[in-house]
Amino acid sequence: MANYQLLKILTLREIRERYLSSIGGFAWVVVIPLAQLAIYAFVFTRILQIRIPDAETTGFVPFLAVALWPWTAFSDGLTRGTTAITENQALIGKVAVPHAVLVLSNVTAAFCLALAGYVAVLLVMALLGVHIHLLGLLVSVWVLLQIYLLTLALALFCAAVQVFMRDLSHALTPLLMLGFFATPILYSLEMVPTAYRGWLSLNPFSYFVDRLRDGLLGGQWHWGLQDWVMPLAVLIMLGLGYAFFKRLSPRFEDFL
Amino acid sequence: MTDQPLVQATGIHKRYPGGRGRAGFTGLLRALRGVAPAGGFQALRGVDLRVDRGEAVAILGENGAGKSTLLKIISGVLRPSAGELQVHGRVSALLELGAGFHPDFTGRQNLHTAAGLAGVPSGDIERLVPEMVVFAGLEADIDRPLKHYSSGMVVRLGFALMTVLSPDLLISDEVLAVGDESFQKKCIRWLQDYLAGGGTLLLVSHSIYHVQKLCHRALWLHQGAVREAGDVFRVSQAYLAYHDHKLRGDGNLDGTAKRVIELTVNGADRAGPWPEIAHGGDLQFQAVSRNGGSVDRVRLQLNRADGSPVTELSLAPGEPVSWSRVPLLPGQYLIQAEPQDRQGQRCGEPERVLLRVTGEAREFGSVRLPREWGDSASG
Repeated sequence: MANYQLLKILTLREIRERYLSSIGGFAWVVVIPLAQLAIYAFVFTRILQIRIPDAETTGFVPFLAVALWPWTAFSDGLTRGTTAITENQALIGKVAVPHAVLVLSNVTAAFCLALAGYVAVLLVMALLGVHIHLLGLLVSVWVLLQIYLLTLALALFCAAVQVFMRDLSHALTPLLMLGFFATPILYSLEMVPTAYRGWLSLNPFSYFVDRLRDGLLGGQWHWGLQDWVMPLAVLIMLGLGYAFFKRLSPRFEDFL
Repeated sequence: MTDQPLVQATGIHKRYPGGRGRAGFTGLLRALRGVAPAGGFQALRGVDLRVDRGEAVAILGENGAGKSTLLKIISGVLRPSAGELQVHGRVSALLELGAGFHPDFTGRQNLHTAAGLAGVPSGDIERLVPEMVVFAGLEADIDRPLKHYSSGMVVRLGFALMTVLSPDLLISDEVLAVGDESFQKKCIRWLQDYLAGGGTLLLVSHSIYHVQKLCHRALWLHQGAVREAGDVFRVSQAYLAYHDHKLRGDGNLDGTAKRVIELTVNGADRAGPWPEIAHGGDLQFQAVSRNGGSVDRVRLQLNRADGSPVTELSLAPGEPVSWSRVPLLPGQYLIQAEPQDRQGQRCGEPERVLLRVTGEAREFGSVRLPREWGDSASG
């Protein structure tokens, strides 16, 4: 109960902190990914004139939009979660706060912000006539929950390492860029040469993106083996991440 | 349950491993293997501390003696490298400036966040924030961002937060020093009420005045270990004497150049142990000529530890002089004997002896003169 209040306070603090000194404030939550979406849409449909076999019926923009926000949530959550401990050292040095709550609140804040944008974009697309399946909303909640927990697992791991080696947050930028292009966000898995397709499908995000598209745009709910293994794997990751974090957290103050 | 100590710390050690970069990587591996960190700086070496309910304990020590580290360990912000710590009760700590405030947020937002972090239920926060604002006296500035506050204003905010937390143990690290005169008085008054109401206080302060006014016991930390612990007056006086000794320089006290007299105070000479009398006790001086110097008179000065003169006296070598019922207030004094020749010129190294006056007094000044109430002056 006390930790829940802590989480709420710290999440609100993080959200407020990120948008405090900008005039646009929370509007940036929607504006940034919208601008990103517009740029990608322009480059890919007008300049490269890409044709995506899967997206013939829905068009490129919904195809991209459905996958872009969850990725933003993941990458933003991981980035902010990684620096949760090192950036809050002033707080940690003065108030006895459970360290894991700081990571949790940074990841949660990133997801709240990205989700707000996601909901806005889905609404706009629905108003513009794109058919968003209601069943798909349920699917997306389930998938986003898994992404959230996976992000948390990785963030706990990274935040702990970051305390000892500040290099990690720098290394994360190119790694996340690699991850973005190694995930079928801008393209579909069918467009990838068969030689690489196996590798790409090992990326858990390929699975998430696939399920989101099938759900929201196709109205499908899959019940394959993968759909049972993935949540289990995510939970195991979370357990490992938390154990790793717990093991290192007593030494944090020495390195802050 | 009631005679259970609030804080029981036994053999607390704290080591800060040094360095970043490669040290960080080895630190990570050591932490994973559960091995103690290597090298670094030993901040605390086996400190024992027991704080009972309703006590006020001061922690004294030079900068870097480990005071803040000890407070951080007790407040749960730091973990000891070795030793055992038990804390029974709600602890609220005001460590250094700020209490984890965020510079971009307004004073009001920071109070909300900090109160929430300290575990105040969100329903109560709304009610308590105006109370805190009034205590801090920051009604005009409470909606400005904290980065525009002066350090004194930040401390006011932090102290105001403590006033509503009603903890079992209150930890305050050098907080009183920053506020202005009237706010300091307000804080002292609040702390006295808090103590009178059964609260427990652990205080770090360089103001011996505050320490003696608020605390019963004191712990003197020296280079990470307890040097003296016990009654606040005894410990704080010993601490002051140590500083005085350090300030004047040992070399000066032990210099052998041109020693032409030898001063004894109540039989003790400069080699120590320092003479000690109780407030109202007697003092006897004797300066003996030695090394065949042509000393005519010895000018004896009695100064306070800070150097301000109290009184002086002239005596002949070899002739004992006494003061009885010395009205000096408890504290440290320096007695300096200057050998003079027939022309009244200094003719050798002055002798210095530190005097410690013990007792309890919370008044300012150097002496307590005999007093009689009523209209006795006319009679």
